[in-house]
Amino acid sequence: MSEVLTYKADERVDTRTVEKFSQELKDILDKGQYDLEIDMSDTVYISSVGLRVLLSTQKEIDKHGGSMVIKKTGPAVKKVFEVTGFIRLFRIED
Amino acid sequence: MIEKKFEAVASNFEMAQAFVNELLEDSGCPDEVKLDIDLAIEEIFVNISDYAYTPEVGDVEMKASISDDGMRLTLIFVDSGTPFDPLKEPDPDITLSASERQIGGLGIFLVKETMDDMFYEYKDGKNQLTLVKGW
Repeated sequence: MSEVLTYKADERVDTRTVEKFSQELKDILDKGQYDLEIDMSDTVYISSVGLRVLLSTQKEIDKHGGSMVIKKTGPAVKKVFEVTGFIRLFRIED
Repeated sequence: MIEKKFEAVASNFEMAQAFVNELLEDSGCPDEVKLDIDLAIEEIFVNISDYAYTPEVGDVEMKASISDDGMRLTLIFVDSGTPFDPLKEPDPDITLSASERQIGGLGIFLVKETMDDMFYEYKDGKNQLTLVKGW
């Protein structure tokens, strides 16, 4: 089994920060790293642009047989995942 | 009621959030409700910026007020771009798996689900979208 890399998301994943978020995740996948933990302990806000990046990251990882785990989501992020049904799409752990 | 006009450019969404947050500052609106409101502002503002006027750039006029009992925000977005009723957009199927899920439609769905009420009207050549959120 390959090593799992942890990526820590910013405090706000929104229209302003999404390009960086998307690029940093893409850089990780481009290196062939498909086992990924996304630490969201700092994240207090995520909008639909951030969800789209998480979904496309998940799809890309699935294509390569990797694993993506979203860790330490706070209540605000969890609520957005619940409302959109994303809570069932991702592996979410404390 | 307070009113402010912004250029309909996506990067202005934070100014739009700040404009409403200032009104909410001493309102007793709980932080988790403020986050819902921030999110709704971003989604609607960015949506107008991305679709209402392209390729031209227009304005978004915002009007915000708190009810007399101090427990409810009413927020109106007015733009004179292409007529668009976000309430008529089909909801994304949230039961699908990751591979089947489509990328679009999430933003407006989030607003619909987190606000208490949402009305749309096309009047005098303008889109007028009203959001209501209580606490």
